[in-house]
Amino acid sequence: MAPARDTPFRSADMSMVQLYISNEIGREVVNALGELGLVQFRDLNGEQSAFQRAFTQDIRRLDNVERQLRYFHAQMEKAGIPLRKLDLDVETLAPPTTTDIDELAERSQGLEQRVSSLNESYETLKKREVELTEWRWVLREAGGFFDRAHGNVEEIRASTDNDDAPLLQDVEHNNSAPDVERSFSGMNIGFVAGVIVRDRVAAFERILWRTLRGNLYMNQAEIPEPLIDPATNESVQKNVFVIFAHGKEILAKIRKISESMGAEVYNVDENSDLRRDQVHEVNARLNDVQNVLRNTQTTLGAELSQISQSLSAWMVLVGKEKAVYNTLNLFSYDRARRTLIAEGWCPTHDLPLIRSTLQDVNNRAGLSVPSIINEIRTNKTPPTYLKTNKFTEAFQTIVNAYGTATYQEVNPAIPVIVTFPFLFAVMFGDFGHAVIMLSAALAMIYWEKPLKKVTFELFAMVYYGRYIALVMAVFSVFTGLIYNDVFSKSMTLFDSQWEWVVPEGFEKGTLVARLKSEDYRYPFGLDWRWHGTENDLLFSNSYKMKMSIILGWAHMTYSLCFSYINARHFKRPIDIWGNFVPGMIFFQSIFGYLVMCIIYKWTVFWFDPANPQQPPGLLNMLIYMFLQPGFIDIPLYPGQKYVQVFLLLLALIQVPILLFLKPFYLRWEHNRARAKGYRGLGERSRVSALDGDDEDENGNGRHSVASDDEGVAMITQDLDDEEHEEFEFGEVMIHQVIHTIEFCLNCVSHTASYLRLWALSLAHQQLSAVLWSMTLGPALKTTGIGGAIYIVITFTAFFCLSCIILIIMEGVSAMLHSLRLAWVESFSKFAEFGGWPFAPFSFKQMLEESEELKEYTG
Amino acid sequence: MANGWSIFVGLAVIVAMCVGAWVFAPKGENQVYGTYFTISLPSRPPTSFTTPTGTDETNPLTFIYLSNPPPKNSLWRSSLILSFVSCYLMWAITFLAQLHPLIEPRRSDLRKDYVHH
Repeated sequence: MAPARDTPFRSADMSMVQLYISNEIGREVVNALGELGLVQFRDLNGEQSAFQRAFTQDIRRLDNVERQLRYFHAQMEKAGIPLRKLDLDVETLAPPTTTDIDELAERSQGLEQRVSSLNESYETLKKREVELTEWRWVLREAGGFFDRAHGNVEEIRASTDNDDAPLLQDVEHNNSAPDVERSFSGMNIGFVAGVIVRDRVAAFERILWRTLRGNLYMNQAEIPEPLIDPATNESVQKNVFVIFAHGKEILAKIRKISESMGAEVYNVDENSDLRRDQVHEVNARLNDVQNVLRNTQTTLGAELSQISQSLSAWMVLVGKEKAVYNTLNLFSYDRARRTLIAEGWCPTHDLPLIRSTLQDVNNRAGLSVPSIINEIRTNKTPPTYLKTNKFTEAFQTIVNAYGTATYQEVNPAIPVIVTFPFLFAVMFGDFGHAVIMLSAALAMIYWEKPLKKVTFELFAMVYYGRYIALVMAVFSVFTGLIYNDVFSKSMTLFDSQWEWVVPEGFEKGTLVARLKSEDYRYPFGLDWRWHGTENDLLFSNSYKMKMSIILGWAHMTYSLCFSYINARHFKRPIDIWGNFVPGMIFFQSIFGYLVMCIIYKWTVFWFDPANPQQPPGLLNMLIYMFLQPGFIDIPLYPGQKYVQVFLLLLALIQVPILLFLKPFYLRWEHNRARAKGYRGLGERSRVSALDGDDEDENGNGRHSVASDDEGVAMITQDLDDEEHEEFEFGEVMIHQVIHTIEFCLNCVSHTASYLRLWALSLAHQQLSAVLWSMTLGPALKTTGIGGAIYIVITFTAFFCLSCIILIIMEGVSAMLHSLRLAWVESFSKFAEFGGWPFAPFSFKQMLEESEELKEYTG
Repeated sequence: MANGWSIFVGLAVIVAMCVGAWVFAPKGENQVYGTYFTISLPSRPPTSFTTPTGTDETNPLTFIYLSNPPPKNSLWRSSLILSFVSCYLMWAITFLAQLHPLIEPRRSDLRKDYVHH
């Protein structure tokens, strides 16, 4: 009979396959398989370094193209041209042919040259422009100095020529030479004019002063507009300076110093007419340069915006192509035979699909040599491949966060789909909050497509778990109705089972309720009459605590049953008789009994007027059951003594069974097999194909491995395989001891751990009651316009705080606690988590996970 | 109306719902198969999934693939039944806790007009 198809219940059946592909279509085959995303290739060239592999050249070439594309992107960002992002949901890229890729490489090469030459000339021109601008400023500012300086040449001369002149002489001589020649050249004074960064002015002045010992006259002015440094594209503040000094050597020195300080020295003529000509010339040149500059920039912008249209698609294509060649590098490549041999894991039930894909590629290429796919036997552990859809994906993710399930064991995510949201809801039980959460979840699902594009990280996380939120909210609506809580208020859906006993002439005082009728009970959830009473918590705490224990017991029993299913599936009966059965009896005889007692106690009418009885405390009963077996504090039912002693003994007997049965059975089995002359598989030899046994392949030579008949039935030595280990009794025994101790202690601690259900639901309810009494509660008592305004304000506060604290914060905390209950309390009962994840070669996955390509895909 | 027997009535209802879930759970292709069928559709005509291609007919695996009936959706089944049972459990616990209550509601802030409601 054909095996059942893969279900999410277990990880998919996996096969190790071997592919023989003709060299010509290797690239196309890998491309098609990448689109399919169902094969995980193994590295057959483990001993070769990355540089020795066959397709390293192609990868280098693609790396270069990728670098060029990134260069365009950087240029576009610099120019502020927006990138047209690629929406992979809408647009599909046809698988490129080799010529497409060659064309792309050539094109990007050409474009790179063009863009970089444009860039270069742009930079040169820009530099020229800055220089000219600076020169213009120098001319303007220096001209101002000169005009001013001509007025007091005498003063300058006095201060430079005559060092020992008394200071006061200045005043006397000031007007004594009105007709002195108004020229600097006559005084043998030269000058240097230039531009310097404003930050360096102070240092510049100091250095000049020290080296020239004060033999200078410096004048400077700030350039009001910031200038752009062409090298860094940053704007800098600069100053114009003019330094007067006499003597050629000193001038040369000043020039050198200014150059070393990074100042630009410009040629300025002393004569004002010549200077005017210079200004005209500079202006004209500046205009020219600016024109050319504008042209260059528009050309560059046009070029880049043209590139921006298809850059994303190119980037994705190149990324895919690179992944293809990286995969091809994993293949064994036989140059002589021109065949590629690949090995990998794929789901057994998808083999036909892979086969037909190969066929398709072959047909399209029109090749006479068929591609061969061969299933091979191996004793390696297959990877765990759990298929998901958009609903189960998030649930699977929270399970995978804990570990990867062992190959073919029960997928722990299956029960989690219900138990995780349900236990969350037990803690989050409030109808009002649940409805808000439900509408949020429904909104996220309704607007699934547009919201997918939101990249805000926190929202993306919530969006990813939208189906979890949906199930959680649905269950919370249910538990909210059961708890009869809506924003901490109660709903009067049905008739109460209680009525107040009102004495004659009642005015004020304590009232006690009584049952309306012996035959009527509140049909759904908690009776609303409890709401607001003095002993409300007394009742609900007892109820919720007992409920936590019962739900915990049910959850753990349910989880434990999966270990039976696992043992059956793996055909290990000893796990049933040595682990599952004794464990189950142990757990049930203590906690199953406790749950039975809780339920029984509820069903007894203790205050029956005909036969009133004292209700026993169940906690005391359980404690006495262990500490004083046979002693009954207050009886719950007749014959209780014997039942409890029996159950206690039954539980105790399970401990040695748990401890010894499995190890001794395994030893017996092992010894029996040995006595008959069998030996373990791993001890000697095994039949294998290209299994990555390096010793073997090296021995036979890399090329002969490809020979078909030998490759399939080769006897190889496999000593380092992890699976068929030598049987060691001590190790098995230690494992079992640990397992037993852990199991028995965990039965107690895990049951206690479920009390968090009570604690969190109590906290949630009390917190919402406090919020009500602090905001809307008092506001509702006010009247008039002031009261209306007050209500509006407090309602806003109430609603916002409800959403932030009670839904988001409390929700996260309840979720974490529920997650823990799934991970620890439930998974520890059955799941091994000893698998390794299936990571197929898939373009879809690659594009989703690549950070680099993320900015190109919308 | 609602007395101790309601627990068993509720149980019967839930069992009926579970049987209903078992029988009427969405059949046909398990949803998880949807993901990769759509991937491969653009490159190939959909008919190639239902009719074997000539060269593949001799292959035993292709035969298995085609003769295998699509499984019942175990995910729907198990999830629905588990949800029903969990919800029943919670309802039953709440109901039982109020069946023979050991304490009565007690409050002293009631107004005279309210007490008879």
